[in-house]
This record gives sequence, structure tokens and C-alpha cells, in this order.
Amino acid sequence: MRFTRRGLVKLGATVAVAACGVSAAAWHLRGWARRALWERLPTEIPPGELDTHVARTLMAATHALLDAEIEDRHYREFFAWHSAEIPGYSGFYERATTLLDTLAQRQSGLLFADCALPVRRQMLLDALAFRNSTMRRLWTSVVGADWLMFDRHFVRPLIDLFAATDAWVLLGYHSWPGQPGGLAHYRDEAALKTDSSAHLHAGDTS
Amino acid sequence: MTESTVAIIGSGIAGASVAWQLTQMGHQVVVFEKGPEYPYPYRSQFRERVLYRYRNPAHRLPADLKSLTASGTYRHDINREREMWVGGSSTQWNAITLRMIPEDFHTRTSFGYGRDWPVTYAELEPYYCRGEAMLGVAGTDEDNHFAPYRSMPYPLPPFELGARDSIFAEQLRAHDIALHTTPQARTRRGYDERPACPNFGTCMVACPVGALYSPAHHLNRAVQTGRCQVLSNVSVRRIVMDGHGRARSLVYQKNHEDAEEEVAAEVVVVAAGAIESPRLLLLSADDRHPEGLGNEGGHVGRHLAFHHLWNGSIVYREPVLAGRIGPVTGQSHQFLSPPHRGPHGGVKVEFSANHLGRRENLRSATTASDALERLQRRSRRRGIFLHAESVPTPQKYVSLSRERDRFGDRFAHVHYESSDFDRETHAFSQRIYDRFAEATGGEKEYLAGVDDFISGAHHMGTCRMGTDASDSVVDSFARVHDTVNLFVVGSSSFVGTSGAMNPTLTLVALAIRTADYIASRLL
Repeated sequence: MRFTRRGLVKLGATVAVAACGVSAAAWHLRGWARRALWERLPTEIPPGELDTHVARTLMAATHALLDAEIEDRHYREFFAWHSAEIPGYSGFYERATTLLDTLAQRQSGLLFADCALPVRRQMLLDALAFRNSTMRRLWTSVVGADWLMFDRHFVRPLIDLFAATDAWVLLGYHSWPGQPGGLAHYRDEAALKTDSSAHLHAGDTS
Repeated sequence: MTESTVAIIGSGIAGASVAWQLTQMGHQVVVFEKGPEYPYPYRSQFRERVLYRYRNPAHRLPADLKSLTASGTYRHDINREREMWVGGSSTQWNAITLRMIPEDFHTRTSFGYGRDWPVTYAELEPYYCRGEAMLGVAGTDEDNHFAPYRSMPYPLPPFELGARDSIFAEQLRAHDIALHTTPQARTRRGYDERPACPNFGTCMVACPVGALYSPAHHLNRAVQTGRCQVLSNVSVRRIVMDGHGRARSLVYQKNHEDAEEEVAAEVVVVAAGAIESPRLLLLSADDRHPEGLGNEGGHVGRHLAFHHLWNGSIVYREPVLAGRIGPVTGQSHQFLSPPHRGPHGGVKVEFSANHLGRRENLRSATTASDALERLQRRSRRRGIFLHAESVPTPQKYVSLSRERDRFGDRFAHVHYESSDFDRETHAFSQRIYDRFAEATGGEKEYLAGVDDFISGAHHMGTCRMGTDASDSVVDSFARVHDTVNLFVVGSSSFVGTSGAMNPTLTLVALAIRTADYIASRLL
């Protein structure tokens, strides 16, 4: 079969238009696809109490990512409440634990929570490196979709909770919004002299 | 058809004020609320929203009940500015409760723009006092030389300026700018069965103890008298008039039922905000009122005005920590009525410790260090709000949308375009912003553009008050012209904006005045 030059131009134009259309549709639908395919919580699993190992693993991941002085309590309560109250979280936290343990056993032969903090931290940073690259994110959606779910339902809420709580104190505030801070401290000049970098550290908090 | 004495449509702060006042005087009221229950005090909401970062869908109305369409230059989602649940939008708010200044009531006469109110500051002053007592306003005028006359002291002492605010106040004073405390409906100490504010700092989300005033405080107490009933999840679809100018009944529908019901009322009070109130009057059109109730002069939905809140931030070399986040602190009322007011409006400046300026983007942060790096500026930044008045124009209005709710009733349509007056006011605000940055030794970081303002959920003026139906919808007691017993309370009845002052205290004062009128003349 022979193509005329005009035919080739037409074919090329059609392919280009179709590619643009598909790209536009994919761009438009990416949020939906992400939620429907990779980030959908396993809502078929009913809410329930956190298993001890799951709770320990989630806190181990929390310490690995939050490399600063934090109060454990509100993170622990956050996970426990979501697991017990919101459909999908109980199953997701179990899957996340399996994901983390599988990664840790492959790399060090230990459960994730038993690894040293620097090891845990490096494992997570490597696994989550796709967050900074669209191409790597796409590739992860093909070969490691559970990490997209982990990002969406663990990492992002964790950072959000940190920014709403401990970050305030690390920046030099007396308390974070949600703690009864009282009405004396804010008028105290000494509060202005807080060194906001004093709380930051890189040590092992586990 | 069932019966009630006074039917109040909307359980927000205007409706709750009327309900509380009337039940105190021994009258029976029924409050109709489209949205769901919202249990008070807000302990469970506090836990969910603050500690667990969760928005409970049980508190949200679906889009086929709560929606609107919009056009014009306003960039934010007006629908999200309205809370529809028991207590309305004043269940999570900054609680800044200020009086309008006397000049705001006669801008046409004094400055050549807007329209004079049919009520004066002097007439409203006793009701301001009662409103402050009802809400438990903490404040002082001792540090504010721009405050209007008052006949009674504030019921509660003020929230003092913070340590850093005081330093800013000194710097500003050296440049002839006043910074003073902010009157607010929070309990500086225990008041009216509400505990002293423990400063949770989550007022805009949920106060778990009731230190922040909520209309639910008085709604619950009204219910306890046995003379008030609050019906939630009920949509009032229209008001039925008889042939003698009397509102006879309401037609309503429970949100999840198929059949309409009708309830007779001696008095009907519409208190559904400046978007839903005109919508209901328009939806209530009948043979005698083909353009809607109170719309003989064509003013229902017209004369809409928002406050224009231009958000800005100033960055400093050293940390300017407030030491805490929470109740609002520093404000300046110096620019409410400047000598050249007329081509532009007045501006109130909020330079408060709880304003942080721009929000940081944390989406790409993976670790605490990443997040803190993005948040570092927070400690060196002070947010500033230029809170400006606006004026109604023909390009600011509420009408009926083509889209319909689940009952087949048309939603509201809001059209809002900034005017030359608004652009001039923005230019004035820019000059104030420059002065604040210079006086406090900061670096200008950001000030919102003229059309990037937020309304602060201050929607006003769509059923404005006036002397007769040819120029307005309601009279100075909020009664719809040419009717006997139909009232529209809330910021909807404002004659444009409330100057540059937050509207809540004024609408509460007006609602109390309306309740007195209803009790003395109609019941």
C-alpha cells in the first residue's frame, strides 16, 4: 500500500490530534484515575482497632519521616482513630505495614520497626523519591502502586498533622493550635526570645 | 396544617438572636434550619477537625441542597463561605464584634456615595449594648481613640495586645498610626455560663468549650425554656401570603421526604443570610406578587455588597513570634473614615498576632525538615488584613439561577463585579500597607490584588432597609414594606456594607430591635 504525500500529512495530523486529545483527556482524568486506581482505600474492610504490630510500624515510619522532636501521642491517636472510625483505614494501615515490612526484610532481613532509625529513614526516602518527579511517579504507578497509596494516605496526612501541631512549637510558639495555651504566655516578653532552631535535631528518637 | 407563633427561617446568629429575645419575653417560636444538627459545645467537631484532620460528612449538606451559581470578578467560592447547620456561619468565626461608626449610617449625606440608613447610630446604640451583653464581648475603648460613643462599658475586659504587638504598637505610634485591642465575642473570663477562654486557638474551626460565642449557646437555652423548637434538615420552600399583606404560613419540606408540609404562623422572620433570604422572597412569588415578596420596587437581591478583605504579609529580619496563636489582638480603626473618604471607602486594619499571611505549600514535603524549611518564614512573618468597605452597584446582585435544588426550586445566582470605588479603595489600602511595613521595619512580601479579595463571608444588603417600597425592601425594623408580619433580619437588611466594620454585632443589634418591635406590636 502506497501513501501519497497528502495522505501522509493527513495521517500525521490525525495522529497528532488524537494524541493531543488523549493527553488532554488523561490530564483531565488524572485525579479521578489516581483516586480510583491507586489511591482508593480498601473500604470493604470494616473499621477496627489497630493491631499492636501495625501501630508500632506506623509510629516507626512516623519517627523516620519526622526528624524532629515530636509528641508521639497525637500521631498515635490519629492512626488509632482513623482505623477505628473511618472505613478503609484499618485495611490500609495493614497494607502499609506489609509494604514496609516487605521492603525492610528485602533490604535488611528485619521487620521495618526493628530497623535502626537511619536505616528506616533512608529506606523511606528512597521509596518515596518518586514524589519529586512526574516520570518516576508514573513509573511507580506501574511497578509499585502501593507506594502511591502510602504517599496519599500516610505521608501527606502525617506532614499535614505535623505542620498543624509540633511544627508550631519547633518554630518557637508556646503551644500548637488545639492545646489550651492560656492567656498569660502571649503577653510575656520572654516568649519572644525563643530560639526556634533549638528544637531541631537529627538524632535517633525511637 | 400545624401552627406556630413566630416562625424563624434560619438558625444563624440573626435568627437565634430573635428566637432568644422572644422566648425570654414568653413567646413561642419555631426555628427552621435547612442544615443538620451541629452538637454544641463543639467537642466532637474539635476532635475530628483539629486532632484527626477530618471533616465529618454528616455535617455537610449535599450539593443538591446547598449550592449557587456565580458570575463576575469575585474569585472565591461563595458557596463555601456559608455554613448551613444549626447555628449557621457564626459557629466558627473570628468573633470580631465591632460597632459601626456614626458616619457609616449617612455616607450619602457626608461623603456622596452609598445611601443613608433609615436608622442612626444614636438610635441603635442601646441595642449595641444589649448585643454586646448577649454575645459577651470582651473589649475596651481606652486604647482606641476612634471608637464611637457608648453608654455602657463592655461586659468583659479586653484581650490585651501580645508582647510583640506592643512593640509594633510603639513603632507604629512613632509614625502616627494607632494599633489597639480588638473587641471580640470571647470570654476573657467566665461569663453567662461560658468558661473563660483557655486559648485553644482553633476558633475558626471549633471551640470545644464554648468560650467563643456561638448562636447555639442561646438556641439551646431557648429550647430549654420549652418555648422554642429547632427543626433541622428542613427546607422552607416558600412563604404564603393572604390578600391583606399578611404572611399566613410557610411551605416546607423535610430534606429526605417527598411531601410538602405547611405551617401557619402569626409572624414570619426570614433570617437566612444575604443570599438565601432574597432567594426565598423571590421563590415565594404568587399571583399578587409576581416578582416575589417585597419586590414591588425591584430591590430584592439588589444592592449586594461584600467586604473586600485584602490579605497581605510583611516579613521581618528577626522572628516576630506572637508566642501563641489564638484570639485576635491588634487592629487599627484610624482609617475607617479618613479625611478624603468619598472617592474611596474606609478601611479597617487587622494586624493581629493570629494572622500569618500566605499559607505555605507543604505538598512536596516528605520529612519534618522539608516542612520546617517551608514553614520557617512563618515565624518572621506577620499577616495584615486590609478590611475595606464597598458600595452596591448594579453589577452586584443576587437573582435566581437556572439550576435547581432537589425540590425543583431555583438556586441563587450571585453576580459580583468590583467597581471603580473598590479599585480606589484598594489603592488606599496599598498605601496603608506600605506605611505599616515601613513603620515596623519590615519587608513587603505580598498584598492581594484588587480582585483577589475575600469577602470574609460578609455578604450584605440584598433586602436593604429604607423608607418605602420604591427604594428598599424592609423598613428600619426589618419589616417587609406593605406587609404586616413578614420580616427579614440579618446583614441582608443592611444598606450596603457596614462601613469597614465586621457586620455581626450590627446585625445582632438590629435583630434585637426587631424582636422588641415584634413583641410590642404584633404579639
